[in-house]
Amino acid sequence: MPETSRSSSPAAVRAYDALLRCYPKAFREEYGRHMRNDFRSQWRLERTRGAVPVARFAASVVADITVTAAREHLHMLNRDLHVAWRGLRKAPAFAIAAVATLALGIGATTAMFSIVYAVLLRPLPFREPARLVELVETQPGANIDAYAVSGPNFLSWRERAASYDAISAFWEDSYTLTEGGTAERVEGMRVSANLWETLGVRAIAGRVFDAGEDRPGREQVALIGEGLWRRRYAADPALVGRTVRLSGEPHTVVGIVPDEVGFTSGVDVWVPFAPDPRMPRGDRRLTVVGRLRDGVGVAQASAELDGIAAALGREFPKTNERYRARVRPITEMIVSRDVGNALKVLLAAVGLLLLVACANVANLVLTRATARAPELALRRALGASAARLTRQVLTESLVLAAIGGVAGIALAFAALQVARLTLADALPRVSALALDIPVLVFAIAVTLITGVAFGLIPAWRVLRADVVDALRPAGRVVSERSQARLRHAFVVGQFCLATMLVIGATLLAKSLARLVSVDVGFRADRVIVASISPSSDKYPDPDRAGAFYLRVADEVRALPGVTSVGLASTPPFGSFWSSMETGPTRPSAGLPESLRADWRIVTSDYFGALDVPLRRGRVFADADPESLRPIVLSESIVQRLWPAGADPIGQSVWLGNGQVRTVIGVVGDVHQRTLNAGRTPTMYLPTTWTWWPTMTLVVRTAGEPAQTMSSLREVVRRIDPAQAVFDVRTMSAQMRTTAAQSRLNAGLLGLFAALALALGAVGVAGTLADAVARRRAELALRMALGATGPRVVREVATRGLALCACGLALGLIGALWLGRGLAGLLFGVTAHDPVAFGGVACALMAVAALACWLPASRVTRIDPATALRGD
Amino acid sequence: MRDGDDERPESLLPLQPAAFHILVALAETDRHGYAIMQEVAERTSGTIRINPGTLYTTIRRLLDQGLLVELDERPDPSEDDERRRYYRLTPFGRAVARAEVARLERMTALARRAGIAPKRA
Repeated sequence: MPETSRSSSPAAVRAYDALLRCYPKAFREEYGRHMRNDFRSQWRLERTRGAVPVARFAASVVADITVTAAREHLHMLNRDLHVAWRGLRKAPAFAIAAVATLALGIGATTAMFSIVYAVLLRPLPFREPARLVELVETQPGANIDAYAVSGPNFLSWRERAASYDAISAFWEDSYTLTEGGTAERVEGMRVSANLWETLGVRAIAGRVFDAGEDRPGREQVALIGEGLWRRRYAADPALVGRTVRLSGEPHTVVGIVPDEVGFTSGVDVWVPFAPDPRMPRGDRRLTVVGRLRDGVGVAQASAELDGIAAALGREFPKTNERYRARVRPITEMIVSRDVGNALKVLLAAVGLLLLVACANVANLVLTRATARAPELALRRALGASAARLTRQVLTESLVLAAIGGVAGIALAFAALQVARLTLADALPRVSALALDIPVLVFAIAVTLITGVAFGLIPAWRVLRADVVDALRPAGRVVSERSQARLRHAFVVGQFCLATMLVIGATLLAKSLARLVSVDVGFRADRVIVASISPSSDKYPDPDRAGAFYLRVADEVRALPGVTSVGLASTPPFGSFWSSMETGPTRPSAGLPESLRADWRIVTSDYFGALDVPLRRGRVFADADPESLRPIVLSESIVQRLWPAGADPIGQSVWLGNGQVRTVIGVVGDVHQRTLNAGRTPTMYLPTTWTWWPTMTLVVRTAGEPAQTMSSLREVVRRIDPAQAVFDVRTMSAQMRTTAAQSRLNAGLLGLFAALALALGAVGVAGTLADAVARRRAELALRMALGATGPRVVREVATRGLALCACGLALGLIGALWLGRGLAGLLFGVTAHDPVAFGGVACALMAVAALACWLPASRVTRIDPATALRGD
Repeated sequence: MRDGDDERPESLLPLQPAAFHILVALAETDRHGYAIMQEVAERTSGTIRINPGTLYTTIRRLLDQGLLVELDERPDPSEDDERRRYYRLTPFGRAVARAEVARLERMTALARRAGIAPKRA
């Protein structure tokens, strides 16, 4: 053999050795040496045949190892899975219990995460969303950290701020869309023409607005939202270029834009708009968004804007003196901090539930591992490596987790179908709710982690056990004792977590109960609200619109079952609020913020239709001339205007819009905005002053309102088919919507708590039952020696109960800590409500007592003779 | 490691080519791995070559299925005197090899009747 060949062989063999590492360790240990020898022999042979055969051989060896190593790994996995599957099939009760528990835990966690993902985490559909910000006015003196922006302020900001690539403004509006004879109320947005540039969004069809299309005279264009385009126009691309009438005005459709640009809800039509610099600087109604220049941070932009606002305050003290401004990430505009906090609390809660489920399964696996300890110890004694056994125990856990995970994902899928339908009122962005890739990745990660988490503990316990001890009955007692400690820790942990969840749920439920039973200041049952908005081409001035409103009101009043009908510019719990400053004397400078009150325009019948109580004086009469300049105030603003208690009737009030009016009556305060915000000081102005472009009918019925709701639409269609009635609903439904978030919080946390409690109780009962079974002989002996059955039962149950009490105590402490997160979600109840804590403690101890007594009572069924003989 | 002794040879058919060649190579005498590689190459005039990876993963499977048994290691003086592990065909392994041959013959007969195989000499 040539010298060169002998010296090159070891290098080739070393390379081959390295390649052998591709095989599973067990295989390598068994065959590696032989493979290496055979390779070396063959290599020497091929060397004698020349360079080409050697190269061919080397290539074929690499290919061979790649294929066969992969196959061998699959084979090992397959065998482990097979063994695990066979083992599980031999213990169906265990397998079903574990899989069901895991499915619940993983399913609930996955569903909750997909909600959190859709609402909080899913990237916004904008280009570089991290650079998008909202610019808001603030009022540090009144602790208001986000106000809408007035048109002139927006223009000043745009002129002076240097931190942005683009700034745009918009405000919500709604239109009656008429085209082809049918009228439909659509959600609209009036926007700066450059909004698309700011957001970085393109049209689906056609184009977005051109620069300058928001200037007067060029505004007769519109963009249509994708949803409306698909719903009403069957996605017809020829819609681009057609003319539609929006509240009577013709607009040419220039493009179709994606729905998601609507931020919080679907927007149907987009119309260009530029604020008029002559608009009142104090009229704050715009939302302003900006795209930060590359490299400019939120803090820097915020400081700049605040400086500009301070300067504007000096230039326009009358409207801007107390106002400042700041910049916040656009995510805060889309998802309010309250919603974000609520979701984080719920995600944490579901995480606790998952922990309880894991503890339960770990407990089950541990019981099973204890039963199998002699078998595993024997296999170790016969030469199975520790790594091999760990791998097998873990494989079994992972198989369980995988089946549980698949069932859990199916469960989450079902839950999301329900959620998509029910959450729209409570959360923004839920239309995007889906089991998409990130959610599935999360679910798989959770499944793997749970599989390893509950699999490792028993695997470790079993392998740590001394082989000889495990095989000897006396040794088994020792290892059982240390395992009992572990299982006791599980019981304490589960009860602790369940307690935290149940207390959290109780607090939220109590808070919800307070919220829905709030006395809103008027009678809300059997009231229908419905909005109408006559188009400006047919009803160009308030008088003509007013006549239309009154005619509708009259005809609705004549419907059977209707007892009274009023009209208001916006009803309680309506979609928008308007407020204004007021004062008892002519204001010298600005009026204090404490004298700001909501205002609305109402007809004389409005108070009767809602049953708002009259406290003093009278409400409007149809015969009141506008020259009387009447105003009706609610009690709390009266108290603020005349704290000394002077009779308000006949007094004059100065309003922020410059009017002076005479108080003719005082009515009770009502909740105007939300259930949890308290009653709102309100000023009522008569329709003799003006009519609002949209008015809401408030209809009280004698019987069930459902019938009247359809007749009401019929009335409007009969009077003028081109006008649409919209937002027709009962006042009760409207109020339910405002409580939707609280209902969601309480409902979900309640569900998680109930599941956690059920799992915890099952865990305790299972642990005790197992302990009783294992201590059969000892308990039998004691009963044979004279201990009475009830006494032994009591003793066993007490031991379990002590563990539960430990868990409960820890849980109460945990709940105090959890309360910090909950505080912001509560209404009318503190996070440390002693009644809730006490009640839950009692209820949970009762559950624990039951869970302990049931398995303990089986002690009396032990026949001492059989039990003692059996061991 | 066989799954049940009552397994019928036909249940393991068709055999992978590598498995078939290994069984045939062991038909006359016990051999170690490298000898099997050489025997297969020789019988097929070098057209079929089995590399160590395929050889030992297949041997592992044939052992699991009870077609082969391992013998003690002993040196092979004709090679390099390294201790090598020898393998022997079991009666079940022989039965499986026969069953595979019968299956191949039936296939060949089929092909012959269809006129796409040469007539028997």
